[in-house]
Parts: sequence; structure tokens; C-alpha cells
Amino acid sequence: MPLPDVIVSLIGAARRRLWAAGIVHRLVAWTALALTVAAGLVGVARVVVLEWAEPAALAMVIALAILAGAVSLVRRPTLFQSAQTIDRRLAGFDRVSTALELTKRPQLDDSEIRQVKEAATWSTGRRVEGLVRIWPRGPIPILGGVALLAALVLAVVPSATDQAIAQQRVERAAIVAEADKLDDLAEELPKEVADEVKKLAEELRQSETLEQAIAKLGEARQDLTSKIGPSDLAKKTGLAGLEARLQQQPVAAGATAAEQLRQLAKDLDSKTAEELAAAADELSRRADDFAGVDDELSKALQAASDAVRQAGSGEAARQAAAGSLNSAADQLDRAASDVAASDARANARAQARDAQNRLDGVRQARPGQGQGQQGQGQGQGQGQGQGQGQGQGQGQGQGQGQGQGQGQGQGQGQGQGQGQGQGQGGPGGGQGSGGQSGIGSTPGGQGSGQVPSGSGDDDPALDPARSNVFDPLTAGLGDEVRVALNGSQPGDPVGSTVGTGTKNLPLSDYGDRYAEYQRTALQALDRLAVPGSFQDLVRNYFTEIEP
Amino acid sequence: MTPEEFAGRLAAVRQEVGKVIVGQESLIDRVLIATICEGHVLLEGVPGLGKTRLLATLGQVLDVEFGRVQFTPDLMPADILGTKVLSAGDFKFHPGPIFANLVLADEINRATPKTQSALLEAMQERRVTLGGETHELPRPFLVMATQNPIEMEGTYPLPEAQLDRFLFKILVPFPSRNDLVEIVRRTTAGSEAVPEAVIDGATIRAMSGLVRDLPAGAHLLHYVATLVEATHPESPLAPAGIRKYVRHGASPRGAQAIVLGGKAAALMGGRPNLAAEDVWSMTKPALRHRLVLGYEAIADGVAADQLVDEVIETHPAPTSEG
Repeated sequence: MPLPDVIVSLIGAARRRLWAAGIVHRLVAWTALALTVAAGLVGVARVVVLEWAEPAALAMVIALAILAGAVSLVRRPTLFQSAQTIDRRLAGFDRVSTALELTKRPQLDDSEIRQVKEAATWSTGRRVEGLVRIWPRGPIPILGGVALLAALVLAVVPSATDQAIAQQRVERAAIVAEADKLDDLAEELPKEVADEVKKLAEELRQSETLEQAIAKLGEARQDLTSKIGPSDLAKKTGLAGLEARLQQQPVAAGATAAEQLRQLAKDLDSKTAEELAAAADELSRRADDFAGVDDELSKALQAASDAVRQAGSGEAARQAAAGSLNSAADQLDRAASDVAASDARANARAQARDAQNRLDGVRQARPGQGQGQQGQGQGQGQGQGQGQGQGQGQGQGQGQGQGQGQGQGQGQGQGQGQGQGQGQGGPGGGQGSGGQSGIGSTPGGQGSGQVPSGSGDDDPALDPARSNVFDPLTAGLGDEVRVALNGSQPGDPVGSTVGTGTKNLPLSDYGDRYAEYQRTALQALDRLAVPGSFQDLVRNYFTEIEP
Repeated sequence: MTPEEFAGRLAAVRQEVGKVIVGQESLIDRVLIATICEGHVLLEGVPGLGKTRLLATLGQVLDVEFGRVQFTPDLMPADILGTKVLSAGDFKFHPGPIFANLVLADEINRATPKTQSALLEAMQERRVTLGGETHELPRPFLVMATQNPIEMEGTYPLPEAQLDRFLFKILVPFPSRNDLVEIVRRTTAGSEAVPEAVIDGATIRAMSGLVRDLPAGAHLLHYVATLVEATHPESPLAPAGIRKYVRHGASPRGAQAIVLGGKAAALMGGRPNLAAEDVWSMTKPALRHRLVLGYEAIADGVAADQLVDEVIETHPAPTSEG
């Protein structure tokens, strides 16, 4: 006996309703649970910086919702479960379940047929709306709603995590920008140095934090500095001098010194004894220039000088001289290559320093940091003097300082002072703020001038290495103080001035400044025809002040 | 007999019993269910609640042979079963009061175990063997016993084997206040109503047949089996209370009693099949005397009904199609 249509219809309707209710109930319950956990997670992230909190919360809610839907789709209620629900919820007293089961039997007796018919009668007109509620009520949906609201509010209102993420992005962009600049620089450098710079750029990109990037730049600077030999600049100066000298007084045809030596090696046969002697003398003097700077080159030049001097004694001597000249030319090429690499490293180091400064600026701009870096300087100076004088003051620093400086000049002089600390002067004393140094010259006459001096520096606690070095290249000049003097009555105070120090000029590392200072000075030596003894004087000076 | 006739006859019986017994509808229904199922009933309650009167009234309403035995410690098996007496030079069997359709065994726990055991064969086999001769008992054969749970002095608790032969153990509750007022009113007036016999033995047997023919879904039979299995402490289906307090669970007779009683209840309700609701209503009467409780249950004051409730809570509804 088939199951009556009315029962089939009733069970089908109940099954669909149960299925839909199961999907909705499970979705609501699981999502409410996920939202509650998510709200808690986002709430914690407002106190503790958890960058993954919001994405994780969102992913958890979506995952549980999808899982709930998938489970509900798979767990479709069976016909028996639907019939049982009808019997229990609609007071069917197992009429539907029993009829469903009896109709599966091959044969039914009278009482069973009567049961099926009565079940069909009972099912007629029966509705399934009261079977189960599609939309759940009670604490779970309320909990889900509250959790959803809380999670949205907590997620939308900016939190410490959001600020941290934004700051991190800014810092990351700054790091990548600096790495890109280093890559650009590497394109212009010799391959050996370019590889080092590219490696540094790559390491910079892999830095997870600004501090790591700054530290890597610092390490790179130290590494580059260590690879720049102390005599590289002297060698460069010497090479430039050699080139300039041989351009003025060539020993043979050729655009460069090395070419001239190689050409001389070829032209030995055609040279007169006087010419050979002059060339040997020139080479000997150049060898002296390089003594202590590049011994190999010096020896090669000296050997070439000796060989050229002996070249007139025979064919064997000429060949030996030619070999020595070629060897000296090779040494010149090697020295030029060394100097180029050294220049490139210095350039890279300067770039690294600039990058470090910029990244440090980004670090200082972090919320809650950087306070106290910008100081305010205020200076007040009083000057007394006679004659004519001119004072220049440069100031930088932070805080307020008092200093006293006194200078006296006669004729032509140059003075440089730098003061730090606190002091109070008597007559003619000046008060100033900020680190100040001044150079004053008094062309003629006698005079005394006040050079406002003071104390002040960048915060030693934050960056000790930059605390006491003034950078004359990158910093602007301080306010100029001019003292009016009558020039005829030495010693009479005739004027006073009030100067204001420059605010917090930047400071930079001594090692960097030294290198630039030395390079600039040696380039000046190259441009000018300075006697060798004076060149040595300059080189020795830089050796003395070498960091 | 049709279900409608069944319901009509039962309504008539209820009406006649109601003339004497005030209230206690559930108790009456269960006794009637047991009667229709040809099952023996053990009524337990404190004295004065109308146990004996209910059964005596039932004997009047049912047009069947009624026998009553007052159990006492000196009651002998022969006093119940009958004996052979020498008459005219020959031993003739003189049947005892058990040879009746409806036997009222009043205060059954006052008899000695020997006498109680005399009922064993009669209740299960519905026959009596005496002196090598077997005597069939009349059908329907129903034993309606009563016992008092509070007077333990001089009583002999029924052995488990005999308890298992009772279809139901029904607890007789104290009547409600309104019922009590009605009881007082009826019993203190001039005359009491006399019930009339409305159904005979053949009708009872016909009703019994109809009960047995009632369809029962396989899922419900499995459910009943689950409930009975769950009363066994070693079963994985057993709840914690059963594991802790029960030494032996219900026998298969318990499951038979639930299903048979449930079918009768369904017919009484005018329904065409056994339902889970019928199973639930019959579980306590059918199982409470079949659970052998341990000392822990006595010490903790745990009754069998509480444990049956726990079983139903653990297995609240049929879960499979069978």
C-alpha cells in the first residue's frame, strides 16, 4: 500500500521547513558564537597591538558562517525525522511515523490498513507552520546582534593597532624608498662597490622595522668606512698631481700619465739623453710624492726612473726601461682603480648616512616620540672692542646657555672658537644660547671682539655620536653679529650687539665630515699647482685629525 | 470487535467503577489496561487508599468469577491452590480460590515465600500442578495483588522472580482534597452505589485480541528495547544513575509490558497505533518493580521511579526508523 499523498505532502513540507530552519538556526548560532569571539578579539586588540586581530576575526566569522551553511546543507532531515517531528510537535502520536513505516511493508493486515487511513485522515489539512520557527528567538540571536554591533564599533573606531599599522606602512614605504635610491646609486658605481650597495638595498628591504633598517645602514656605513683606506685620499691627490704635472710637462705623448709612460716605453729609441734624463728626474720626483702613500707605485715609478736613466747604455737597458715603464703604467692604472673604488665607497657611505638620517626623521615623527629634538636657541651677546673687527657667529643647539668668549686680534688673524657649557662673563661677556662658533678677523688695528659662544647641542642621550660635531656643509650659517668699532681708540667700548643664535642646526657624524673635508681639500690641491712639500703638509694634517 | 466498540465498553466499565471509586482515574485506567492485557497487577499503597475496594469493585463490574485471598503468615499453598480430599474412597481435587478469573491477593507480602511461590506457576503458566495433576486455570486469569509498603514487620518481600510476573506495579496515590471530600460524602451517606457487571470474560479476551493486533511502529519497538536495555548498569546506554544504583535491570517481560500496555492505552485514547506517549506512560508501571536496586539506592533514598525518569531523559524519543 503506498503512502497516501496527503501524508507524503505533509512530510515533504515538514522536511523543507525543518531544513530551512536548521540552516537558519545553525547559521545564527555559529555566527553569533564567532561574532562573540571576534568582538572579544577586536576588543583585546584595542589594548594590545594585534595586527592580525581584525582580519582574523573577519575570517573566523566568514569561515564559521560558511561551515554552518555547508553542514546544514549536508545534514538534511530524513523522512523519518520529519515524520517524527510532526508526531511530536503536532500531537500526531506516531500516526505519521507508523504509517510511513507500515507502507514500506509488502502486505498490510486490516488493523494496519486502518492505521494508514486514519493517519491520512489526520494529516488532511494539517499545516507545518507551527512545526518549527524558521527565525530563532531567545538569547542566541540577541547575543549575536550585540556581538556584531560591538565588533563593528570596535573595528571602525581607530585603535592603537590601526595607528600602528598605518605607522608601519609609512615606515615600510620609507625603507623601500631608501632601498630604491641605493639601487639607483649602485647603477653609477663600479661593479665591486655596486654589488655591496645592492646587497645593502636588499637587506634594507628585508628589514622588518625601522630600527633594523637604521641599524643596517649604520653597519653598512661602518663597513664602507673600514674599506676606505686612510691613504686613499692621499693617493688620489698624488695621482691627480701626477696627472697635472705630466699634462704640464709631458714625458711623452698621451692623454694620461699611464699612456705617456707606455708611449715613452715605445719611444725610448727616439729620445735624446737629455730628454731621458729629464723624464727620469720627473719620474723620480713623482716617486717621492708617492712614498708612504702607495709604496708599490712609488717603487714602480722609481724603478722606471732608474731604468730610463740607464736606457741610453744599450738595447738591453732600453728593453728593461720599457718594461719598467709599462709596469709603472700598470701600477698607475691599479692605483687609479683603487681611488675610484674608494670614491665610490665614500659616495655610498654618504648616501647611507643620508638615508639613515631620513629614516631617523621618520622614526622621530612617530606619535609620542621625537619630543625635544627641536630646540630653541636664543642668544644675546655684548661686544666691546676697538679698531675694526668682524665677527661671525654660528650657533646651533638646544636649550639655553651662557657663554663667554674673548678674542683679540691684531693685524690679520683668524680665530675659531667653540664653546660649550654655561658661563657668565664680566664686562664684555656675552650671553648666548646654542652651540656657537665664530670666526672673527680684524684687518688691522687692535681690537677685541666678543665672539658669542655658548653651549647647546643635540640631545646627547638620543644620539651621542652626533652630539658635539658641527656640520659646516649642511648647516646654514648663524646670524651674523657685527660690532661697530671706531678703529682708532683701542680698548674703548663703543658698541654692543644683540644676536640671535640659529635654531638647532643639524649635526652630522665626524667621520663623514672628515672624509668630505679631506676630499674637498685634496681636490683643491689637485686643481692648484701646490709644491709637493706643501701637499705633504696638508696630507699630514688630515692624518693627524683622522677619526 | 472494533476500536469504537472497545472504547464504548471501556467507557462503560469506567462509569461503573466510578460509582464506587472516587477520582484515581489514572489508577483505574492502568488497572483496566492490565485487565484488558490479561496481565497481573501489584497495587502498592498505604492502608486505606482503596486498593482492595478498587479490585473488589472491578470484580463486580467484570462479569467473571472473582476470588479473594487474604494473605497471612500462616496461609499455606494449599489454601490458595486447593487440595485433594478423600471423598468416597478416592482423592478428589478441591480447587482453591485461585481457580477464578479475577483473583484478589490482598496483602500478598504477608504470606511466606513458600506460599507466595505457589502463585508463580499459576501466574505465568496459568495452570496449577498438584499431586502430579495439572489443572488449567480459567481464562481470563488475572491476579490483582496489594501490598503495604510501610509495615515491614512480619512481611516477606516478594522475590524478584515473582515480581517480574506482574505486568504492572501501580502505586496508589493519596486522593486529592476534592476527591477526599467526595469519598467522605459517599461513604457517610445512607446507601452506597452498587456497580453492575458490564463486560464478561469473553469480551475481555476479545478486547485483549484487539490490543495485540494494534500496529506498533518498528521505531517504537526499538525505542522500548533501548529503554529496557538502558536499565542495565552494564549497558552503554545506561545513564549514570542506573550505573550507580541498579544491580540488575529489567527483564524482557518489562519491554513486553510496556508495548502491550501502550497498545491498550492507545486504544483507550481512540488512536490507531502505539505512540511514544503511550510508551512513556507505561514505562514506570512496567519497569519500577523490575529494577533490582543496590544498597546505595536505599542509602541515598533513590527510588526506582527516579531512575526510570533518568532513563527517559537520557533517551527522550525514538531516534531511528528501526
